[in-house]
Amino acid sequence: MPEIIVKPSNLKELWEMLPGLPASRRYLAGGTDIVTANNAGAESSVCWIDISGLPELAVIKETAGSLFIGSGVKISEIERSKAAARWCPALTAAIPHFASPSLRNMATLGGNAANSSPCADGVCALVAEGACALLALRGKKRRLPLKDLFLGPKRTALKKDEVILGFEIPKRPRAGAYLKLGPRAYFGISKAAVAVTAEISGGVVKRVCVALGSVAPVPLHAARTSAWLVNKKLSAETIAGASDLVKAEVSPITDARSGADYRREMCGVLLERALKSLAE
Amino acid sequence: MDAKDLKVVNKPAIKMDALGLACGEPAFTDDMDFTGLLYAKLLWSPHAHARIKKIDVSAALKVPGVKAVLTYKDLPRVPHTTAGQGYPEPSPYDTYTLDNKVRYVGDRVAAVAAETAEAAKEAVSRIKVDYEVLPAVLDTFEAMKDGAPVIHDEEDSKNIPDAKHNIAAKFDFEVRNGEWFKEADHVFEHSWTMPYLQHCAIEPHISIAYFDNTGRLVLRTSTQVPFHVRRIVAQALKIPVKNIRVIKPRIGGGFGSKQEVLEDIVAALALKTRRPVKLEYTRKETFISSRTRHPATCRMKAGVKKDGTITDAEMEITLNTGAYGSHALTVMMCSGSHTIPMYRVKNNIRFIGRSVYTNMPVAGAYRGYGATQGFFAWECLMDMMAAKIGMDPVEFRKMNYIKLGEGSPVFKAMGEGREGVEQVITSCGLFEAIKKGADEIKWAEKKAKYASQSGPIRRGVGVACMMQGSGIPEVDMASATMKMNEDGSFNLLVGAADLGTGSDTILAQIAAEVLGIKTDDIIVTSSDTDITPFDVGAYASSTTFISGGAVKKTAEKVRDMIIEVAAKILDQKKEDLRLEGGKVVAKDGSSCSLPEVANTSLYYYNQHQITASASHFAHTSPPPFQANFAEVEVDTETGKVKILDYVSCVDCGTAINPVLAEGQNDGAVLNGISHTLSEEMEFSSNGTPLNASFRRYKIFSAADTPPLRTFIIPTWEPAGPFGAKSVSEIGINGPLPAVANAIYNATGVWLFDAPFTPDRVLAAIKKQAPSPAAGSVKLLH
Repeated sequence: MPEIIVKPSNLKELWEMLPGLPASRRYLAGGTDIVTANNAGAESSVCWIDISGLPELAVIKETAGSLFIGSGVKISEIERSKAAARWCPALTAAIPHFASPSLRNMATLGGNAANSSPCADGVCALVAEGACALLALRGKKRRLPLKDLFLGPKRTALKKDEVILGFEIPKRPRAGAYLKLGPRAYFGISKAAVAVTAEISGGVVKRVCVALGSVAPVPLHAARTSAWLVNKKLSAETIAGASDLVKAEVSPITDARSGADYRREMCGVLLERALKSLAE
Repeated sequence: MDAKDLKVVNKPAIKMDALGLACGEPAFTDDMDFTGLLYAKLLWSPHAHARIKKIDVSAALKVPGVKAVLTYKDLPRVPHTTAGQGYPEPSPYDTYTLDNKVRYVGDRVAAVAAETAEAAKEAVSRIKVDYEVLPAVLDTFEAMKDGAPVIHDEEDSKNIPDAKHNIAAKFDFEVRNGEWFKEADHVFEHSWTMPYLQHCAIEPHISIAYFDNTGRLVLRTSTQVPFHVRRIVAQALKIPVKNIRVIKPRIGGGFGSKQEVLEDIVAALALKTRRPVKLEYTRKETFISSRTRHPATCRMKAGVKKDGTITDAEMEITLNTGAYGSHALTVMMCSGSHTIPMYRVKNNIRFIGRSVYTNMPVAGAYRGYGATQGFFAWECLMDMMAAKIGMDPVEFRKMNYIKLGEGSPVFKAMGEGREGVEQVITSCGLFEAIKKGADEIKWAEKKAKYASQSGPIRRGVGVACMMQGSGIPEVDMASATMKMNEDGSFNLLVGAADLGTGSDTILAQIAAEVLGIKTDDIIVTSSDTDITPFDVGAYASSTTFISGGAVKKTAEKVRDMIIEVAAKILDQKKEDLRLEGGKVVAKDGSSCSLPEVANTSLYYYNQHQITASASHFAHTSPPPFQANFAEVEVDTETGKVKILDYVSCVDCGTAINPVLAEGQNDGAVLNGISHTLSEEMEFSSNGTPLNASFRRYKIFSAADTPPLRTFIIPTWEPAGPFGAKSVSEIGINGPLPAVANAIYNATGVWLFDAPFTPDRVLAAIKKQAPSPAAGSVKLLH
């Protein structure tokens, strides 16, 4: 456990507090990753900054062109949100796969993203939604496509003390899917996962975004496969072609959860099934 | 007698400890506070095989709060076994409380007791050990080769049949009636494997050692075998049995892991410090350093005639017992003795069994006890034979299973660690069980429906039949004591160990049935070696059958004493009296209440305490039977197997408490399903466990539980109390073969290696059909 845990009540207070805190510090959102890491002896910060009470991060709001989901919104709140159900089809499909109900009551998308695990279900789905991350550091804000936030396992483009405010998802009518292969039916980390959103008109793909979990060092945006699908008719041949292409785009490893070859093959199978479900 | 005459037995009495446990009343080992309690922590070996050249504990002793650090230098060197079995234990004496050699990653090196858990942990980290790392062997077949590292090279271990080849136990047996496979039209030979599995009892191993006011050592411990704990701790630490008291409080599950006596080290720390000491394993320690199921390779070869006659059967089982041979001989023998007699074999039977030491975690007793490993092979082989001769697997089993009045040469030849007893089947509901199961799963209808399928998702149904035992004949013994109180209630003192199984409740039901009273008029105490009479403990599916027999005899003695007193009160002949509804009733309708009888005996007439004790052992071990049916869905593109329906029909004789019996079976089946689809301990190439936590070792949770249905098929076992047999273990043996057979029915692919993870299932499918594009998997039947 850290020596100090502080809990600012708003962003302004957070920025004021920072200079007085020990250099070895980390943000705590839902705590579902950081506390587990601590229990496993893999977390050694001197100070935790509990940002779960920041009101600026706790909102879901719609603007004309996008939906904003605050980074501190609990997954279970997103599960209940009508706006999220309407505008985030892949994320909506992913949430039932997200850990367990009790963890969904604690966990947040902000924590999920900042932890930068390649197997995070929520983040993988958000990448497929084409989300942008809104970041802030002492009042300086910036906007980053979510797929560019991740540099490697547990490594992000976040600067020291930078906070993820939330995620902007473009409001465009589209279909989406999330398919995951886990160790058992419930509450397990995926062997492989595929998230897709697509705008299909007259059977032709207008826009598409494919993202994959657990098959690369980061939640992977399959840029080549996505680009290849655009303006193609979503036929059996196209689906088979995309499925072959995606297998070449991923770089899975063999670990305790699965073998690399198996994972690679499953990316093809899951993408095929996801695209088929969108074509129907 | 018939089950319909029963008033208390065969009824769903409420489990007597349920409310208290549900309300969180203090009940378990750790629920009691002790003044001046010390915390124990152990230093575990980081090497699979090494000799301790030098061990320096001086820095550890300097940690504030540390009261004792023990190494092998501080303790008597006594070869013993941790297997909590009847004396003399049939397991080799190859274990030392602490030794100068470590034999697996996770073996004991040293022990610390300190004022706080943190200080104990700190001290453990400061023990300096200089190891001479030895070559390790992790594979059973490598371990048996000439020149393999010898794991037990010490001079003083006992009863190891071939230490040079790392053989901890061996047993061969043959029935020869002519030439092998001469009559067979088809002969099959395959090998099936099971990995390392852990029991995953929710309560970890925990023991508190303290002293009573006369200085005797008291062990409050989470155990299945209190009397064996007393004996083996006395042996290992060279102290008299009379100086030890073992108390078993409520237990949070055991499944065999707590049939192991690991209490010696906490007792040694208490004796050293003369303070109360607590040792509680973490989950990681439970996975690595308690006990596991014996991983197995089971090769079976069998012959069958076109008409369905099984001509010959050979089973060769090789068990990995890990670094020590706990239960090495008996689990190996049960893998044959509980399984081979299941079906009639016309000519030749052979069993070849080896338990082999490796530098891996220690195996031990685990629900199913070898039968799980053996039935996986035998029941899959049964389906292979049925498929080849074109017979329905259900009909093939009906034709060949052991019937009422039949015996098997195996019963006599193979006991638990020694010769067995001759026996014939005296109760068998398997025919009804198969029929009920086939009806419930809609066997015929689904077989027909699934014969022609297309697309990547395939469905199938599978069957597997089982038997187990009810206690170990002429080895297991239990006893009970009852005494009557003035309000007509009774104390029932039993050595039997309720580990959450509900045995206290069913033993009270048996006594209440005899005495014509309600279950809640019986106060059960179990178990305390100072207070309760001897019982071998809760294992080998023995409690209902053996301990239940002891309780029934005891209650009958008490009943006779009550009638003796009542005859005087009522001025009636004893033979005209019976116990009913809490009263002693005469033929003419006159009666007296049980409190009146008790008060008369205590205060008025021929003053005496109505009390009795009795013991019970058995000459046979009547097997329960079970028919299992599984319906599965196999995704032939991902290899994912989903169980759609699981029906388990069990003949346990009379279910003393049908709700508890169903619960036992549901639990055993789910445990087996989890083995089938998910569980497997994984190791690095140097024997370090990789997934020793619930994060990585996935057991099926409530949310993963497929629809599973238990049906109790009543029979009447003449040798059992009120017709009862056992029910606790049998259910775990079913899922592996039933699901394997259902996967074959769905895809035409056999699986030989558990668990059936998606990766493994897909690899098996691809091996058979090199490019399984959607819809192209060929059904082979």
